[in-house]
Amino acid sequence: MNGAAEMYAGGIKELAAAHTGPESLPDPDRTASVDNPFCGDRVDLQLALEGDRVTAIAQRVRGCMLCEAAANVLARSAPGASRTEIEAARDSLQAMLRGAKASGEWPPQGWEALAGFEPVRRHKSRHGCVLLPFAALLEALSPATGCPLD
Amino acid sequence: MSQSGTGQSGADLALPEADWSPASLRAQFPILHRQVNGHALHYLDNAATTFSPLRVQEAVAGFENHSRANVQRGMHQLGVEATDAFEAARGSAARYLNAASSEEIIFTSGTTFGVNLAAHCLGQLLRTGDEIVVSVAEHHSNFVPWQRLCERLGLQMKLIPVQASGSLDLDGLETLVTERCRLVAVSHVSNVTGSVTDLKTVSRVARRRGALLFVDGAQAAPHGPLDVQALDVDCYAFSSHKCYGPTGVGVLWVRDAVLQTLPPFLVGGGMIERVTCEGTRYLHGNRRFEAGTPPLVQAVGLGAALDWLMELPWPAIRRYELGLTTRLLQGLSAIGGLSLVGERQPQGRAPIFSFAIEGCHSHDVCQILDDYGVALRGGHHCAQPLMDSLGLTATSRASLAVFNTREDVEALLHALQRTVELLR
Repeated sequence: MNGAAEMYAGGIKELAAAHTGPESLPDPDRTASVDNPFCGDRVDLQLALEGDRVTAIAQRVRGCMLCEAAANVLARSAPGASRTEIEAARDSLQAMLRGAKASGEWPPQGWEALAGFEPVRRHKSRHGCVLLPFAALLEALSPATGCPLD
Repeated sequence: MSQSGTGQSGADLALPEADWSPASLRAQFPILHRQVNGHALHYLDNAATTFSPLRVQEAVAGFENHSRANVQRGMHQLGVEATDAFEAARGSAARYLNAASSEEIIFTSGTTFGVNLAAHCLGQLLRTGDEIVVSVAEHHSNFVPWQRLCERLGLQMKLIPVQASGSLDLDGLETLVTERCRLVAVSHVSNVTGSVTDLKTVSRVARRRGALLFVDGAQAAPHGPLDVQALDVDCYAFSSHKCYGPTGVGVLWVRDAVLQTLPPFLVGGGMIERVTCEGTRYLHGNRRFEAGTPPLVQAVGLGAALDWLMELPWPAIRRYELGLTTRLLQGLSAIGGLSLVGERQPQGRAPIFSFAIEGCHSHDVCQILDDYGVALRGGHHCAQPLMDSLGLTATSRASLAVFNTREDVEALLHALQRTVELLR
């Protein structure tokens, strides 16, 4: 088996099917809705925060298997993490996908499931699918763009 | 594409049917002989971009190597030859569309530019309160320019809905197109479903209300010569890269009576009559809309592509294509959980097939098909309003060109079955 089939035969399929976390929160602090303009995938995300740390995350994902799998990793690993830690995990993931050397350890501690995306590295056109949930989460966490709910 | 109601003429065919075969056509496309991921290439993404035959490549190379110069204003031999080649391409476009005159042909960078040009120019003739009617099935290129125009000028944009099949629902058109409607914009063929718009009905209603009819012909033009006069439309835009020509060029045909009323869009060299420090007087007709150096090489290539298309034996090609369509529809319907988006009958449609598979996202499907050398497109196909109307987020799309064969169709069906097994 080679090519894309190898990617789907690995852990990504199980990760995508895991459906970790709810689709909405009863009282979210922040929301974000992010699209991948090339394919129309969309992540609608809600957050509960305590200070700068995520306490709860809910996501509605309209996307491919890679996007779903990445969203499920977020649902597992983002609660308890700060914006800086999430950015560092995203940067490590991005560096891995680009074949560049990550500044920290790979996979980052607490984000070990990201290793499941290593087979995506050679499929450049799909990197955006994996990164979309991170973009939604970081947009929600950004004071400038995240939409606080009154 | 079936001829009935499409305005596709198929007349004046130079190549005898007996001399035509898929193999003879394929020999003209060297790219078809390459391999992808260890498999023969089965290219079924022609609705996005198709390939150029050797004849087009030779025309481009010939122009580059022998006649490359600017057009209209060169006082030297190369300038004369370049102008002749460029204007010959304009003539080819006029013949392909059966335009009344090549003076009605404007070279653009593609369909998107053609729609934007028309929206900008026509927009200068519209006033707040005027209405524009567009269908929800449009490619974004024939939707967003009109939407933006309406936002900018305070016009009302009304939408032609679709049936469950994705075909336009024209039942309420008489009511939708009112006396205040100044323009109706629809595609000739859907880039998602392959359904053919009944342009004669749309034209009849538009004419009755005094509205102009703009047609996005990007997906119809690749399927044989057209007759814009018989279709009774006012503007018709298409792209070269879907018609076996080079990228970066397209055609906007505008009926002369409309063309003469339009103010300029882009301004600069090549479209003026006289410039003084006090003001500028613009050329009339098509040249008014070709500011700057036009895409010369690309236009020459497009002309060669259209000449080539006009020589194909379309009745034979359509019979062959109908066979492929019938087999493809039958094969797709046998795949469990697959829903075809669009009409299910093989006749009266363009060979564009979108489908969704339960539990399998189109990006994942297309990615795995690529392992088998099968090239499809997955996503919203730049038709998000249509996707929303149909309750879909994305589909996989196979689209045929004149060089596709039964082997391509069987390769798709085989790989699709394997893909579904892997993803489920």
